[in-house]
Amino acid sequence: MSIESFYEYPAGIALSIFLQGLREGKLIASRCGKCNTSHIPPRSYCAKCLNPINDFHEITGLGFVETFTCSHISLDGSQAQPVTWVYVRFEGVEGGLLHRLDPSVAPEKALKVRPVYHGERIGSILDIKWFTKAE
Amino acid sequence: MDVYVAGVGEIPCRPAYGDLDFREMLYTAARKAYEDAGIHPSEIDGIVSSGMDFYEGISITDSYTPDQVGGRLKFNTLVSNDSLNAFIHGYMLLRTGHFRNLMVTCYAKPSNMLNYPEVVLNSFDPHVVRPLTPHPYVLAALDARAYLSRSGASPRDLSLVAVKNKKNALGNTSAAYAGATTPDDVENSAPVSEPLKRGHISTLCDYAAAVILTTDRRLGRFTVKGVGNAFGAYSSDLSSRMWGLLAWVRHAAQKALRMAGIGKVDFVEVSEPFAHTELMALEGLGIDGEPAHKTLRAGGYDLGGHLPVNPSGGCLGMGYPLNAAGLQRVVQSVKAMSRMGWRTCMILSSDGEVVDAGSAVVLTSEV
Ligand SMILES: [Zn+2]
Repeated sequence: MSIESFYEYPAGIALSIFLQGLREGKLIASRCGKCNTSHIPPRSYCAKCLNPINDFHEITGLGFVETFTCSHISLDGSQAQPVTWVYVRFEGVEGGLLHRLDPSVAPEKALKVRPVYHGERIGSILDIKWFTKAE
Repeated sequence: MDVYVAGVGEIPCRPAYGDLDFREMLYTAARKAYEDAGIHPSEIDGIVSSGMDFYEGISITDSYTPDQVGGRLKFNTLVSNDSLNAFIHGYMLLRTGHFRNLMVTCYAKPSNMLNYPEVVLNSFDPHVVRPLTPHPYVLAALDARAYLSRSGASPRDLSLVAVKNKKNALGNTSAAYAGATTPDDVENSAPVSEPLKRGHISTLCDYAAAVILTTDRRLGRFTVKGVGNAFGAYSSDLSSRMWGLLAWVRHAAQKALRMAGIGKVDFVEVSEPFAHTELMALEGLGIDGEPAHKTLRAGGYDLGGHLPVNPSGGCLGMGYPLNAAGLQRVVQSVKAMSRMGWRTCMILSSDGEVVDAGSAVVLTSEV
């Protein structure tokens, strides 16, 4: 016998703004009005000074790869076609995003990248198809 | 007020106890601990249990511990974290003076889990991480790559850790995955998520352990000289992850060493779900002055080296019992001090596979 568990998670104030931004093809970060720290994904509070935040802005600069891996394993544990995963950070912004890398790009540390969006978007992290090398 | 270890018990690590349930595993471990300590279950004042619902698939799973270990109608508290954290809770409870003898227990039965990677995925943010469906080893590999890149260590160093630990486990009858292997064997094992090969990843195992702590010096066989715990940056969307670093180790270990009033130890036991976890922890510990991978290459962490690390075989050699890994280390440390004549050890255990939080304990054989 198996008992399935069902959950629904409201994204909250800041993350809803982030997901709405993805629908519009934008990366949105938060900025603390007190210590000026920007963070992605955005937060409605500052983890540094615990100040409430209601300042959100688009990240227009490029991202860069902090660390990467080429995986050969799928979620069910089986061998899978290689997928390159990257952890992307942005200059002057704390935090970052996990995502996949364009398979035509060779991963390397500090590689400058930008998100590639799907044409049809629903307000999900999957609205980003992958990150690709920024020319 | 000093706190001592009076006795330890465990059921050996196995890929699967298909014939036992978790209560029977705990019962076996507790019986051995009572026998080891030479006391009767009626002399125990309470139980601190570590078990995780998340892994076991049983709600409030650790609340089903007291019956089979001698804790009925006594004080019981549950620490849903690595079991070294539970051990520290037991230590602190004894220091209140309200108890004389406490038992710390832990168990994990991952062989019951049919979809481990999906279960682990549930620990991450449902909007930002889960839809991407990364296997947890992908996250470990991001850590491994960042560690190698920052430290200048090479993937072969990860293989050296795996070979050392599997070899050490040959002398440990509680180990499930001991073996005489070579770095080339590990290098040639299946690629999982680069730079991690199958041989760099600790295989899950079923395990249960019980440790009796006491403030009664007559029962004490080892002394808990220092404890420390710290949480590093820690968010479910991975955004505060400092890849390739275990920031908690320095804080927790220094606290424990300061309490113990010592600067070095005879050996280290560290939970290592992955080969790089051991090196990252040793780097954070920083008590031998060299980058960890250089000491490793020179044999400094071998059984005969100046600072043996995981003489038990660690999780690579014994098996990784999830939250039970911390108490697995305590039991092995006690066994090693009895057998090898070592006097002091540092025990380190992270609160999970790819997290920046964990506990440190210093034990000595002096009472
Ligand atoms: Zn702030």
